Amino acid sequence: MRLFLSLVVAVLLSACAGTPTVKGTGDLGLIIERSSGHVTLVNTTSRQPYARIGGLGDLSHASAVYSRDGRYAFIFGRDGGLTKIDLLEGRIVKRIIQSGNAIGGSISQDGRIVVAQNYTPGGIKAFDAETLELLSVVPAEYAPGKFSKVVGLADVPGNKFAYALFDGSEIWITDFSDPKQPKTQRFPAGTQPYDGLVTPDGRFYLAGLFGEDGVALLDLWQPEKGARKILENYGRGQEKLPVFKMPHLRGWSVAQGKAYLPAVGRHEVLIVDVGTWKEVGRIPVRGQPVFVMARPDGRQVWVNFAFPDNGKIDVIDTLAGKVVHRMEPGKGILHMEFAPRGENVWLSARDDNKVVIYDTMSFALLGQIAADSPSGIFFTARAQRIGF
Amino acid sequence: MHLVRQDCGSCHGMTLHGGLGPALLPETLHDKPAEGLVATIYYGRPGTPMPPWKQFMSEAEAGWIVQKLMTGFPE
Repeated sequence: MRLFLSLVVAVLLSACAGTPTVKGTGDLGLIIERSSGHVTLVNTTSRQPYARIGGLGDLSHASAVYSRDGRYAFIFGRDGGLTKIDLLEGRIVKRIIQSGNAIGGSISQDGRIVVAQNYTPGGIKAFDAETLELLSVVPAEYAPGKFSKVVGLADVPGNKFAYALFDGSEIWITDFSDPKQPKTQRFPAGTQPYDGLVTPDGRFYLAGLFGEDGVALLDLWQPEKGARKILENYGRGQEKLPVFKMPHLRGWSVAQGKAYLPAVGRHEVLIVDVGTWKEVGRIPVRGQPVFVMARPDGRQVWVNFAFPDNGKIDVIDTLAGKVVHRMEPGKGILHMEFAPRGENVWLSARDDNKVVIYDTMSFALLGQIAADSPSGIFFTARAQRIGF
Repeated sequence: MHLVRQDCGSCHGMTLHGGLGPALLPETLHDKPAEGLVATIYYGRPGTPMPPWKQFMSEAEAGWIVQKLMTGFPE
């Protein structure tokens, strides 16, 4: 017994004396638990949670971006909360309330500026990524006294941010080269842009339009040419189906030289050639697409749907150009995130209170993680991508 | 109730404080006629993103939602 105790003591002592466990951040991520203001921190190698943090406020429609070292997550809550989390220490570093009603955010090319996009008051705000100190405010005042809700904020090269004005029907590009003196360019876009994306190379900004059939396209290398309309009249005057949840756009829609975009009011995914920006096809799916996300290698595109089809997933094979797998992985599938190189995908099943993990080759269920009304899932690999 | 919090919430906010769609709180709704709000839910509002919900509920159920919203929707 004495020998055993001394052994235990020796083990404990060596554990104390040893250097702390050194960890990288490349296989970490977080799950938003929208109802309870928590985030669960996860490891994509072990496919297990390792910490849970509370006190983040209203996280409905919350999203996250990462510092370029992948250590810190900046989480934008619906209630205007901006929370900086340390993924290694599993704790909140700083939390501020930056507006009344927010819808997401982004981080600059150099990683020094975090920008929040706001509905109320409409506009964007820039913060120092280190301290969360407010640097500048750009109100989305598109006409005297008229402020727009801001959607589709994306970081683009040159420490600029592109975004769209839902009520103002414009695309704005704001240059934060001098973070306290931002400069903004405005471009007419079309009726009611609902979200936007920048292509993975940072060259083109696309704003999906809700108020008309079409997508506004701005070449950021030649902004003086202005925004032009692509996919015009894709509905060809047919009556739209009701849209029970707004689709989402991001640079993940681009795969193999083509962009896969949700049609609005049609149960279709539209395919556009990124060289010519002409429609080259459309794929029928089982509902109003919300997220149309390419696996990182571009071979597959996964699609989830608005209510009432939000328990379904369709998987498109981009080589075959059609849906090759249909599944019902859970109730209220709100979001999905691929492992950095795409061997598995994590899906949040809000109404089943879990995240389910699938192998993207065999479609086998690999595991699941309990979470309270999970919504967004964000892995640190986003830190290295333009427009995420 | 779950439908209102979660699926109305995707535009109006889970706490109904508003989002792309306006806030659905007693103080923002009190000056609006209930029948108009019922019609908005049931038939949608053309020209805005508000869709018609008639395939998922009766007009009476839409009326129940409006009544609950105007008096403060239960958690």
